[in-house]
Amino acid sequence: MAKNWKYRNKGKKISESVIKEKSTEQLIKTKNFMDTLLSLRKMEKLYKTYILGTTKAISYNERNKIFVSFNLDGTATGRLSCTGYSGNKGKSMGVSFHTLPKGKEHNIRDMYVAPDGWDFITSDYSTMELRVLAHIADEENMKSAFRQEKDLHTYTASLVFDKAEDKVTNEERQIAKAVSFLIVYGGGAFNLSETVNIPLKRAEKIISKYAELYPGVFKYMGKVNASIEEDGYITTLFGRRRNLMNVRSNITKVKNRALRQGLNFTVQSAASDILVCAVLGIVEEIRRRGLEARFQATVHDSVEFVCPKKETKEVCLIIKDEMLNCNYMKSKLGVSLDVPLAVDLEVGSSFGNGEPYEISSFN
Amino acid sequence: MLTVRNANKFDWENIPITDCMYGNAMDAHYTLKVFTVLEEKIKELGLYDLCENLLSPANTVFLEPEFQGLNVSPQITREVGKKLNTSIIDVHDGLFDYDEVSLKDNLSSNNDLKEVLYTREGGFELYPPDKTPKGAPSVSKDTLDIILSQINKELINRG
Repeated sequence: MAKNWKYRNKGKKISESVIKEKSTEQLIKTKNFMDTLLSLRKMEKLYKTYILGTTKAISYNERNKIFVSFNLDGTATGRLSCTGYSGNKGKSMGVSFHTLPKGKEHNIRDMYVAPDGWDFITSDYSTMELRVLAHIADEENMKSAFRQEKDLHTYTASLVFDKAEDKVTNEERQIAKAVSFLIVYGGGAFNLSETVNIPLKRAEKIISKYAELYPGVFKYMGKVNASIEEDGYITTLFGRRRNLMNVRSNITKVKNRALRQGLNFTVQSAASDILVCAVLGIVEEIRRRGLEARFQATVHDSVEFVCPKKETKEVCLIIKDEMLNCNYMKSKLGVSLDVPLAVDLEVGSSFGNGEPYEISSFN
Repeated sequence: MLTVRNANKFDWENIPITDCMYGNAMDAHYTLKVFTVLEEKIKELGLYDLCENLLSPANTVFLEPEFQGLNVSPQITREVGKKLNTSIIDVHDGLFDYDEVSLKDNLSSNNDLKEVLYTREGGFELYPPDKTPKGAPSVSKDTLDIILSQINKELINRG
């Protein structure tokens, strides 16, 4: 390529044709190089953000603690956001917890620990957004799968690829998972083919099979789109409202983006509010019982608490009860779901080393 | 604080107590004024329940971990950091095993990476599918993801 390169509008097409001219060996080599380069960038970012960020923060705070600031209205999607607390002259007193990665090789979460003699409890809602989608879209097949405690992605794959659940391969499960999430984020066949690297025609077939399987989801999408087009805004289960005036745009791309944002908002915002309700219910119950347990944070769909070891069982029961039964949400906001929720509870000495805390542990 | 401009760079540690009191009083005064105006609007939009039973109590509950902070183990931080740093060095060194990369290249520099991927003869000789806002060949993650997806697609097509 010439050194005095000038971008042309068909950059993607030219790039594709250049790739087509290369030998398979060259392509594999290039792919390996780029994969390694991207993983290097990821690790460097991790190091800079969390290792250096935390080290600088504890040095600034002059104690082994970081301080974060939660923002209940910091995102357009209605999700909670979290940043390091801003100290004197803009110095950060912590790191953002909401982007804290979960990794086995480099367990960044391990750095955040419970006080001595205390346990760190993490309770994570499983497939939360899809459960919310099943409820708001009133999608019977999806609701029924959740009621039967099935793994939704394996179940979906078994129906889409027409085979028994125990015969579903990992790749097929991944495709089913990708379809479900793409639908929530307003994606289509093209995005699916790009995401899981399958031919476009195959992606189209999968999406149409998915639509047959979960018709309620597509009906709901149509309803949401019509409502946004008519009102210029959309509201969630909890009454949160997002104005989407771009839906009136004459540019199709801009309009479609507003429609995607609206659909996504109804799911993500509701999921986030369910989590906040759970936190409020748990804290209320902990206070009512006079326990020492303390709320620490929320990360994505999980809540984090620390408590003295002698309280662990009781606090786990409170957390599980509130997260599964949504007592606070029902009594204070009058919202209830007709889909069961599921949580994975882990207990350890740090945020990163928790071990599953099964229901049998309560006995 | 309403009385402070550019709060992020302000020297909060040395603010005179009278300025601090005055600023806080102003904040409280105007928050109350704004509240009385917004309360009606919130009721009108049907958002009162959400504010009263979710957002308002959540503000108080989330204040606790903000105030208490999260415990950090400096020893584990050092250990994780050391391990991560070793991996970074290993992966970084591995990139220089490719003939397309010269020992003089700084792979953290976008300019050098641009040469390795696109412009240098004997480099990977790809074509950038996207440009930077200034019109140069992009080496951002999104652009590299496009190239990777194109390569993956081509490899699948070739079986």
